Amino acid sequence: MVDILKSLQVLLFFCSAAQIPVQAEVLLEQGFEQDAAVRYALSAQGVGDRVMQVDQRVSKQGQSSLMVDVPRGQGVAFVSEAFRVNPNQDCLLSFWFRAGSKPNANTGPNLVTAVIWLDRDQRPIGQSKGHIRIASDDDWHLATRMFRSPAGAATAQIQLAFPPTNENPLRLWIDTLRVRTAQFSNATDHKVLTRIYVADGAFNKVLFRRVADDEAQSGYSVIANPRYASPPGYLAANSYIKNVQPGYYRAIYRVKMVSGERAERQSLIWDINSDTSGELATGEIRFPEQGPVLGYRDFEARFVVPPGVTWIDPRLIWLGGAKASVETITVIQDHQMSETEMERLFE
Amino acid sequence: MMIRLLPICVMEWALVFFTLLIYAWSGLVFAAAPYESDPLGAANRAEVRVTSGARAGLSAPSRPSSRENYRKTADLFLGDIIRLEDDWARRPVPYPNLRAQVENLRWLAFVYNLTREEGYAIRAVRALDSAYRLVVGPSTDLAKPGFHELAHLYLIEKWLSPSTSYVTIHRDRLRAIALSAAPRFPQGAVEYGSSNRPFHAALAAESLLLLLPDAPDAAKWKEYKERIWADWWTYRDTDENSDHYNALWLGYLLDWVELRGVGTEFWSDAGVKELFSRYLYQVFPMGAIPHFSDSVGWNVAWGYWVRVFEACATNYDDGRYKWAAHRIYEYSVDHIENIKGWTYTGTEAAWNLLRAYSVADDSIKEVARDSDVRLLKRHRVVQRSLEHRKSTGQFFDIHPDLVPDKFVFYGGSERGALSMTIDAFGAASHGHRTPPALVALADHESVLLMSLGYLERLPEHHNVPQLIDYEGYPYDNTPTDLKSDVNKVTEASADDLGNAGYAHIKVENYLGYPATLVREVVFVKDAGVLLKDTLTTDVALQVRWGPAYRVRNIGPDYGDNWVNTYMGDWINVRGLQANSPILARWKNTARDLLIYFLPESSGSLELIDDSSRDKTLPLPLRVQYALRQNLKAGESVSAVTLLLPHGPGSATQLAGNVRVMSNKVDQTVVEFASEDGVTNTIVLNSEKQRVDVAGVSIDTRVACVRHRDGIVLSQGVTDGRRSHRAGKAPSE
Repeated sequence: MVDILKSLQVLLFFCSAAQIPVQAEVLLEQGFEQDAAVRYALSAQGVGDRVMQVDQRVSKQGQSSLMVDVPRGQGVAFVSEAFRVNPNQDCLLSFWFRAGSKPNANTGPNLVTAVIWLDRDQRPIGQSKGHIRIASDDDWHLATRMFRSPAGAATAQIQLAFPPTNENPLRLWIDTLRVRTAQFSNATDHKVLTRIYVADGAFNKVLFRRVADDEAQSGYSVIANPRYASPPGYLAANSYIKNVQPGYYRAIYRVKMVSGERAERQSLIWDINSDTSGELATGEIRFPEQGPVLGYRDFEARFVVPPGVTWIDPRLIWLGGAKASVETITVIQDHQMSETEMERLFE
Repeated sequence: MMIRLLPICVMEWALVFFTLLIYAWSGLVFAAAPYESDPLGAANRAEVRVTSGARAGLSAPSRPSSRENYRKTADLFLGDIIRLEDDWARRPVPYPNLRAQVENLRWLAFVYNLTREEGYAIRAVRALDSAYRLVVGPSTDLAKPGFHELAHLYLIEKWLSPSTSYVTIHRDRLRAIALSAAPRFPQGAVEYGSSNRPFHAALAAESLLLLLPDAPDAAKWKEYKERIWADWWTYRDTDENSDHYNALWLGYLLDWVELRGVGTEFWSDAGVKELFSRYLYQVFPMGAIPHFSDSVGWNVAWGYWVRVFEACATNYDDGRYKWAAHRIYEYSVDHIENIKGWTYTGTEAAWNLLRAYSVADDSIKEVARDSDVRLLKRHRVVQRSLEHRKSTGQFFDIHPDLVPDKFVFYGGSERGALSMTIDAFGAASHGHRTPPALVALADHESVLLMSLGYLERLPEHHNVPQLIDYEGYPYDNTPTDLKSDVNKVTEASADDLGNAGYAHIKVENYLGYPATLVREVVFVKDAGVLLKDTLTTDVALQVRWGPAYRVRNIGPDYGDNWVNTYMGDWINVRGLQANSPILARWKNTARDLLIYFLPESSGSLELIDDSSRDKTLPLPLRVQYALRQNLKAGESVSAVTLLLPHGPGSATQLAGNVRVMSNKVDQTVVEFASEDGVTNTIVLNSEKQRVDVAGVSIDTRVACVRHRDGIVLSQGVTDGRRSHRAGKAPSE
């Protein structure tokens, strides 16, 4: 009976109204059209100012862009001015980037995006991070990230960090960095793209195990049990969803958690990996501080798929500390962007 | 979605309502499930009783096997090929599909050779010219010529050689196509080993060098093909375990033997004869080799098998192969819904029928096989490490010792005979490594259980006992394509008791756990099957385990520990991806299967419905008897299933007649009635404790006593000999 009711709940859930973004408000816009615009640029680890400068020879939009030279073995970061946000607000970060040299494709992410959340007293209260692997070509690429501001957030800053590399110096350009609100309202064109049954094989089989799970509708889940698995790793990954159209999406992670002793590590990280834009969104699923075993709960992650992305991979990273299980990841397309919408949002 | 099946007498109305709602939502037919057609009559369904005598020869084939009928079936496609070729010939530019052009060329050349009617040769030459223009001229065909085209070219020339229409310029053009397919030896792209892909490449190499002895990289091509031949000839076996890929491989092999001109040596070789014999005994008397491992579905390679068995019948002068070829042909042409519906069961099968026509000798008469119960064997296969296979291009090595391959059980040689196959083979190319999977069960020409083949790889989809723990014990999660010791068969035996077959198989590292599973099988030839699964774990585990079976439909009734199932009127074959369209359908005779689990206090009858996530899955339901137990280290537990075929309709009476006299790990005594009114008593008795059955005292490990009204009709007993232990050659 319980199983059947769960099925009905899921059915009802999918019949409920989905949401699409409307009435986006621009919170931050940086076109790098003049030298003054780079006053926010910081050079990390004592690197000289010349690592970042406005380049009037190259631009995606307008007349110029921000050129970044990352010296060999040193990291640099660009930090924007602070902009106003509301607590618990969805924000869409977008910017164009282009590589001027040829990064080694096998060295992992080489651009870390972060939103630094600040309270009314300008004190940091958290960060939302994502990673991008800069493509080895001369084309402009659009990066988008969806972030949700935490409770207590009053302002925020965007940080684009380029980690130290042992490769040849990396040069790239950044243009038209924007942060918009992404308010959702009722929509009618949502559809379930897929439901991934993680236990069917989409997980790190060295670290984690498919197990019997009588609370799961399928009877199976993937478990991270500190008794058997200690290093962090992908509790869910490698379920590539192909032919994804630009638009607004949700990934619903069906997760069961048990609180552990190490409260600082009691969380899961979710992200939406993609072929051309790295992680489209990332976030945290917090574990309860202490308490009894909880049943399955659905955690909703919103993200935007920009043009050019052909596949996405919704992942879940177990950080250790507490027992956690995942049964399914359901990906829902809330709204497929029209050409006009894409132009309005990204041009 | 998992639903526990509760007894209807205690079921709440709300549950009934919601169950029906969910089933209606998922499209599943349940409860009063209507049959799509009902040849026996719906009103009589519950009363249908088929006698043992009626089991034989349920249906006469509408098109009996003969060379001429093979040809007539193939000719259904020849007309299409001629029309297509004539249509393409009228085009100003060649139809841009080289593979299709060569396919037409192949057919036309072969038919010309059979008939010597010049019209076929003229069309063949025209197709050759079109293919040549695609190779040398501007083409929109994105597919580059490859092994598929190259492998056929030598035989095409051979078949066309007598024709006056096939002249020097055509010979040159055919060679130009060959060169475009093989401009150089594709170092790094070819594979090694004894399986379908290397054989296809080696066959192509043989064809190339016969046409062009001085082809670019001729020495490398020669070295390659000779190595492939030498490797396979060492043990005369393949490293693949899939009916589909085995059939492809054998097709390439027959062509290759012809090209090499080694027919005399090949057909007189005892090892080769042993190889073919293995497949002969896999043929169900109804007329199909059940599909297993990486196979798209039921009977997909039927045309290949007709050709293979006709070649064997002729070359061995052995009527058993003729029997096998005829049964497969007759079943296939009578049961396929639309022979032109899908290439594999259509054109490809017809091409093989054409080849069978050319090799068949109708003076050889059908002879039934000589045994009902067999443990088939094959050479052991060992998987190379990931690094090793990357560096060598070879996935597996074949070893000299023989190991269990499959158990086959038949209730005779008549078409309606109860038939079953159980897989006993471990790691192999295109294999699933899931012993002791029940590959298929059929009765009265009706498929009752079968494999999901290529469509699903997880063990719960393949009729093996499930075993999984709750806490994430670090069992071997290794994917089936990586080297692993999971499911290692260490013992296997099969005995024919006369009225029944008995088999046992011991599987260690079961499903990756430090656990051993022993499956015992009692196959009552005229009645049904008993499967006893005994699990022993080396460590303490909290588990859910027990027997599980994939089915298409359930109903009309079920109980606490049993459920009635049936395939329905059609066996679907569909593409590999979830929700893929149906490619072909086989008509299935109406017949039901009662799945009866001997009750256990910790057992729960459950139904898992996968139809909501894969709407075209041919077997959307899993019936399982789940035992949730906290196992102690070294503790043994067991679960017993009865599989009882019966006429369509209610199984309540059949289930009610099952009597369990004893059911524990070391002894099971169970009695059930079959449709012929006979009572069947099965005794599994590892401690040989004395059991009295119908006045007969049983003190053997295994017994099957069939009796009626207190009179023993037949009695089969055995102490369960061990015919195989791991790592030992048969002579040991």
